[in-house]
Amino acid sequence: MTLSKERLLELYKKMVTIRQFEENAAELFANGEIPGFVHLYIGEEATAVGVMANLEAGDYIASTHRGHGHLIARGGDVKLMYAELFGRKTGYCKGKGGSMHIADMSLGFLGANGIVGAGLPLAAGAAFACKYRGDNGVAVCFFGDGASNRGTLHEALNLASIWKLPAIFVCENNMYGISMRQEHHQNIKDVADRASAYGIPGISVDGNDLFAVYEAAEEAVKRARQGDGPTLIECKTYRWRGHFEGDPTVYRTDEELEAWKKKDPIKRVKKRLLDMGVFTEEEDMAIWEEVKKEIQEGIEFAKNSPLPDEADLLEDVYCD
Amino acid sequence: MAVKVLMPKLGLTMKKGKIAKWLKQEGQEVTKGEDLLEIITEKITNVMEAPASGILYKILAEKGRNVPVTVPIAIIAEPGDDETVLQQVVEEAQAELDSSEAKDTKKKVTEKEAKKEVQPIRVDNVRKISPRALRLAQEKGIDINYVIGTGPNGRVIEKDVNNYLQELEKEKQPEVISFEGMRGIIAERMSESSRNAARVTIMQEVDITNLQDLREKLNNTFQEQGKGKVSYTDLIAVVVARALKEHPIMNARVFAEEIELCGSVNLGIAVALEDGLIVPVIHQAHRLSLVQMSEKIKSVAERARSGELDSEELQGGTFTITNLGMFGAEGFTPIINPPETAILGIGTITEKPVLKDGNLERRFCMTMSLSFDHRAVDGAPAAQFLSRIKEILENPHPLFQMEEPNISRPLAAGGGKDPNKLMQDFVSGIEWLNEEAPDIAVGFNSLMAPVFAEGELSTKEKELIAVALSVYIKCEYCISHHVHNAMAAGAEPDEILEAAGVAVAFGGGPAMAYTVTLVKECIKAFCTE
Amino acid sequence: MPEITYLEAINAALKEEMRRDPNVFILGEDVGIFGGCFGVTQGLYDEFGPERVLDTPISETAIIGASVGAAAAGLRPVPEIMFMDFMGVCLDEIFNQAAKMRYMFGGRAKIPITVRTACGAGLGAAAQHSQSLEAWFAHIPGLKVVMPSTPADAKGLLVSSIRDDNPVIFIEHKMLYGVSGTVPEGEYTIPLGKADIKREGSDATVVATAMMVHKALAAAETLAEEGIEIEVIDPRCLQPLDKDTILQSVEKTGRLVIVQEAVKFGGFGGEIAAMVVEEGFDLLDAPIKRIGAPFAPVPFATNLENVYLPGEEDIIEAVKSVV
Repeated sequence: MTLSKERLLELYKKMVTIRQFEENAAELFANGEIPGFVHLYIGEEATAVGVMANLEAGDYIASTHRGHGHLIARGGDVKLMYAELFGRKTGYCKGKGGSMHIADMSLGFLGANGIVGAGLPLAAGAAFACKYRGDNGVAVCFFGDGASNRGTLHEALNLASIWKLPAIFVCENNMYGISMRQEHHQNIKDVADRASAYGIPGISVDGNDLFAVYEAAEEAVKRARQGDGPTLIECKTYRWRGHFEGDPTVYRTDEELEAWKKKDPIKRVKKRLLDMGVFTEEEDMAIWEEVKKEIQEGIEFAKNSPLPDEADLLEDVYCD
Repeated sequence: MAVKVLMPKLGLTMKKGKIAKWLKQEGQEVTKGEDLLEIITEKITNVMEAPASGILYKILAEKGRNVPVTVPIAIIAEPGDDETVLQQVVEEAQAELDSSEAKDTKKKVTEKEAKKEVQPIRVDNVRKISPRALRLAQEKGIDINYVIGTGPNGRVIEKDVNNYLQELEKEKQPEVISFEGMRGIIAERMSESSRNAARVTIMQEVDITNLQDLREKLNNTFQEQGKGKVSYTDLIAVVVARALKEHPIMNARVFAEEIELCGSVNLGIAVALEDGLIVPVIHQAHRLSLVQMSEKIKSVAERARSGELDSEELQGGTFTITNLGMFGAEGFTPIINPPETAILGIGTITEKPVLKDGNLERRFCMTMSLSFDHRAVDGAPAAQFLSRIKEILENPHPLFQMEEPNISRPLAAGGGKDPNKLMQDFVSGIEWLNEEAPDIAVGFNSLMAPVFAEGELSTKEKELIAVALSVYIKCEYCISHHVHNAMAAGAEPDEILEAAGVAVAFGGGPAMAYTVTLVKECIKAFCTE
Repeated sequence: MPEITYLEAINAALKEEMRRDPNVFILGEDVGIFGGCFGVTQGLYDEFGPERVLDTPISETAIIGASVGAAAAGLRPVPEIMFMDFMGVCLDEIFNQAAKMRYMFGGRAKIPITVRTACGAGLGAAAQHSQSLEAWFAHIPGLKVVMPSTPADAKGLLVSSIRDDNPVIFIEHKMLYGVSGTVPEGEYTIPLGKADIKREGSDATVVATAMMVHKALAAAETLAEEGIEIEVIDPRCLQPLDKDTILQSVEKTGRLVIVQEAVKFGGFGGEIAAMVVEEGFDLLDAPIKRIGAPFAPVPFATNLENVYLPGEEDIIEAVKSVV
């Protein structure tokens, strides 16, 4: 592992930011301040941050409905994200997309996506563009264990494999497709097994281990940039919240959740960093405070932002 | 195998061809390509070659016949063809030829009918209107009730509103006819006449049945002699000229200070022009024979229409005849042509039943309207003059040295129908009603029900009542039926006539007189049965 | 002006745009060496190579999904869906991804893809290879829908479609591929959303698309012999729709007949009819007539297919019922 101290702190802070962003989002949603659906990433922070740490400017990401963590990991602006969640004119999408459709084309972030599994062929296309231009870019697609049953996975992985596209397909296996446990919705234990059908590498890692994820992604990105084609990485993780806010999670036990909370990816990184002497408890506290401040500023920004102009309703349907 | 010779289509537009000449006769041998017949199309004669070799077995369409294209006109038989088969082919081809022509005539009739089509009078309005028409109507402030719809199912469409607007515009601006020229002269003279003359108009109906007979005979003779036909106006003009000589006061000119009795009859004949009226004068009319009069009138009328009359021909008139009969007018009140004393208006000829010697006859009548200036003439002499004309016109034969006819046109009501036939019609009519319109039949029966209800009255009495009712409702068929029934039930002719007379008394007198005549005819018919 | 076929016109447009813009590439089933199922992409593989003329697996989802991703990443893909009937397989990528990304992302994305596909019956290709589904796509905000009827329109509109920054569904009628017509010399474009008056007339407006334009023009000849002059309008583009040209024509004629090959019920003709009623009610002098296929899948047997398809006679009858 080649990460510097600064880089480690940066990644850690991103995980903390994701955690706090989501916790606040949950509260704001519960208070009725955020409309629509909100799918939270709490518990899966290591996956997004670990993968994203390997990307460069010019790379592309296709995200999911549970996409806040991906964008923060990619360097998204929490102010613009909150503003979008609040449906404000200043949001990432001028209030026209909401939580499920946040995108930042300047970061190559091709959007969260309301359709499960829809990002797979999109990422293949973005990877094709990189290859077509020969700009050494790669495309990453996040998708869940539920999405791994979509036909899009087959078509996208097949296409990416025959065309040797610089794509990394990252399955965030959080054990549930909404309410359906993985063992009920597919007959394999590891989604990574699917890779063999396309003659590409498939690797299954502990999605709550930042370093494991980082290393798997590092290898996959390297392969991609070398022109060796796509890789399927499965990150086994767990969402602490329900499928969406308001989900009573009757399909799982408290014990299961508690067990996974013990595997909190942030705590694991913190322990590692403390052990490595990268920071102290006080410095950690300071990071949490700093993030808290940024989050509060983000929320304030969003709340103080104007609503979209009704006159702009029909804008942006088409390019002029 | 028999070959049908078809009327060829010799051009793109050719629909029919006329058989000009068959160049081969039935039974003659023909060779394929040999000239077979000549066909006339719109412009030219074409020779048609035989389409096959063999015997010209049958000519279906003879010379002169107009045959639609592709229809068989002949049959060529080949050696060895079976006679019965050939007959069958001929029959089929003949049927095809005949039906093609029938279709053709049928089509012509519809075309003719289509031409006659007139815009029917609207009974009710279908108030369908297209949005476009409605908008236009609203913009123009039009009440669409005045707009006649010509769209599908009578829908008012834009065109209709536009047409209406155009008509409205036209109607708003009346066509102006200047009082300059002829119109001015007519206006001036007519108002002068109206202002000065003390006009009285008397009318009298003339039976011209005899005159009609006379005219027919004369014209037959003239035709044999190669002369032109004479008109009623010509005849009347001659008669009027004669009467005027007998009544000089009617052939006079009235001035402020005096009345001028004229020796010569200068007869004005009013001629209607497209945009006015002109009265050329036939000078010395009393000296003219019928044929001369006829030629003169024809000549002046023609020249009046073409505007070629000399000025003398428009002056010096002493009496005018104006005939509106050809336009259907009966009696009218003509305005005197000043300074003349009188003018005679001739009405239309109508066929009507006339009581003659107690018998109803079919006669032709005409009303004469004489307007005279009471300043110069009093009522009695004027009426005498008119009666004299009537007298001559009703008995014209001696005057024209012709044998008098014996015209008696006895009439049963309904135009001389046989009473027995009328009764049959009644019976079949009632049957028809029972079948086709039982409601009406029931209505009629219920009307008669109280009469025929069982009771004190005898059948004869009931039938007599029915006779009276039949006369009252002026139903020829009912009269025939019930007179017959009454006679059959033993009624005397007098009783029947009495019953009919009661109805006449109740029902309004003379107008019903002819129905009584019909009753008589029916009695006569029963007696001679 | 040169005379070429509809197919050649589309081929020429693809060739010209690929030469002009290196970001333009073609992908689809059998579009490479094979030259396309109908031969539309013939010769392109030879000129531009496998890097820019890509044969795909039979994966409509991936074809369109990858096209959308590539377009979002800055390229101009021109994917081909062999038969319009297969669009159901990649519908999500079209109507949830391509169509909506720009709006969902607050105008911060553009998806310049031109999906070429072949519609239409007449080949005896039966129910799954003959449909005209243009109404589905015209219903989706964010998509443009182009449906040319002549070689000249096909070429000019395809060039415009490829250059357009929006996703365009470019619907080619397979029975028109062999139809010839003159096209302007050299490079030209036809703006999307501009209808074309194919024949002027004053008695009734006939709005027709694709194959039906040709049937309407044939009907116009027959009607003209009877003194009825119809104005034939080809919208060419259903989204955006050139309402003005249609309304102006109806203003002139007062009568509207709409002809589509697609099933009449729920078809795009209904949209035109509704539009004219809403925006031009007062222009109408007669009820609007719609002609379309009956409510049944496209049959196979030739005689059934002939009965199924709207024809010249239907147009003549409809026009006569309103003039």
